[in-house]
Amino acid sequence: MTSKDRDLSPNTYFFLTCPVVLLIALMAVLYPNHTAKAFTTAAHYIYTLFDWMVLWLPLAILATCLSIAFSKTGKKRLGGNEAKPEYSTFSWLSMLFTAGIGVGIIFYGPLEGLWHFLYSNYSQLPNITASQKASMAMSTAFWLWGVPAWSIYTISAVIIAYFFYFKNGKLNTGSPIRIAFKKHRWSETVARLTMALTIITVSVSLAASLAMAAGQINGGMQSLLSNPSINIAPWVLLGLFVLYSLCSLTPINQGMKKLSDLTIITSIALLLFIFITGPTRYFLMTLVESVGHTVKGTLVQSFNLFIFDESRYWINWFAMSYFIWWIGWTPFMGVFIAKISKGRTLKEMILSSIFVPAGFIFIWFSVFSGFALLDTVKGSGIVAKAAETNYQQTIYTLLDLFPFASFTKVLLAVLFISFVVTTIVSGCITLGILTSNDGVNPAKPKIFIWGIFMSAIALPFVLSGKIEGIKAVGSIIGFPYMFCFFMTLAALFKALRQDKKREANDQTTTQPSSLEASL
Amino acid sequence: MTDIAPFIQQSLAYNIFETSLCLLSVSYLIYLVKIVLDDDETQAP
Repeated sequence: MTSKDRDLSPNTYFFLTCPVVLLIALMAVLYPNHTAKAFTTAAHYIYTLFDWMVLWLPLAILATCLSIAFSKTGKKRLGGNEAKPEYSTFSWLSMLFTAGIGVGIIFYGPLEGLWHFLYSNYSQLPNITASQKASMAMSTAFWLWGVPAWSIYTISAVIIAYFFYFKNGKLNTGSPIRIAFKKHRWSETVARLTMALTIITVSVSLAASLAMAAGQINGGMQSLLSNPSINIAPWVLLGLFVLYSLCSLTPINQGMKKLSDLTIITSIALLLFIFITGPTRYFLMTLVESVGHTVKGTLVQSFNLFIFDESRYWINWFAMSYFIWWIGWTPFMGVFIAKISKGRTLKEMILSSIFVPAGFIFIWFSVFSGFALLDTVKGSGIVAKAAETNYQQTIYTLLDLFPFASFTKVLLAVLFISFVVTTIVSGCITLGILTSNDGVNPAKPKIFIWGIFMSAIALPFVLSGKIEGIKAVGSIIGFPYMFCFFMTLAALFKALRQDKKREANDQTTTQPSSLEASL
Repeated sequence: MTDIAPFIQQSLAYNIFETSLCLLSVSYLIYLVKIVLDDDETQAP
């Protein structure tokens, strides 16, 4: 029996996971406050108990990614030596970025630096100047959102791609475990459990993002119309549903590619506008200084648990929650990156998917967080005030300080919409792949059904305005998956060791014969 | 005889729970390393 045959039937995962996802939604709808409290408490315990295991993990994963990229394995081309890339380099990079945490950086752009400036344990150090606090805040934002975060996504893509393209596996998270540990009795059960957890994690995380994004777009509309009481969030959600359904139902290379290109071009345009009309020299200084501090400080930050500090709020609710959140996104990102990277070498995929998005995030944060910090330290402090009173309005408040604010705010709202739609479309396609008949080509009806589920989960939170419950669910849903993630990582190491041994054996068997031939 | 440190004494049940989870996680990680490095399992076919 082959590894493929042992997998559950195609629709089984679909019908196994749907009730669980709906149950979570139902629980959150019926008991929003209790659910929020239960999940927040659970999240707190998880962060407190496992920080020693999680904090250094992204750095270790980065080292693993780089060692694979610069080894012999890195030269392997996904899909075979003759395979050609399916997407242009620009479209491929746009899709890498927009499918991931693109929507997050738009929202957190000005907030991230500010929050670390105000709440980080580093900012509480005695005798620290405002300038030092700002530098630490920026390098912390770079650490949490930059290279380590993208390394986590990338290693997941490497694992899935390696087993899909070189080991005849399926394009999913269960396949590496099933193939690498096929001699172990538990492998099939663990592979199935990983698959089920993957589907639940992806769907709930995406629904949480959808609900939050609808709230953010609503906040933008309130700012544009100068009417804080207006609530068009349900209509925003409906509009988003129509948009992402339309994009999902067109072929991926038409819908996603066009939307990703448009999104990345619009975000570059907005970035350039702020960069040119704002304090350009200051932005460049911030970028250079923050990159330097990040390179210098990542090792220290990755191992600094603030054990004896009075408050460990920041290390738990920022560093830990982000890293677990990123791990929760890995199945989605891994499958998606592996699928669109056919025709690229492993080295190309690793280096591009780590450093290009991280580099863009560095520039983005240098401009938006950099300006927010400049306003806080040397300006009116209006951006920091907005962050403390109504953080959903922060980026719009920042844009008010620049010329053509009405226009840029509309542009930002469009950017939000396109980023969210791109992410949800990618998510629906990934879920479609995971629950498809052949494990490669997603069936359109299933993509559409996952789209409906996501909106259904998001709707009650958008209607009631209470997204706390689903935010807590979203932040801890990645935790159980983390242990499956470790298992897939072990599967990769195992496969790499096997291949290395095989190559060594091949060399030792060919060497005597070539020696004999020469004699 | 020296008293037990207060931070251990305050909640024995919680300490047992916490220790169990930590030890389970460490054991899991060690097991993963073991199955990766296990030479019998890493035989090339």
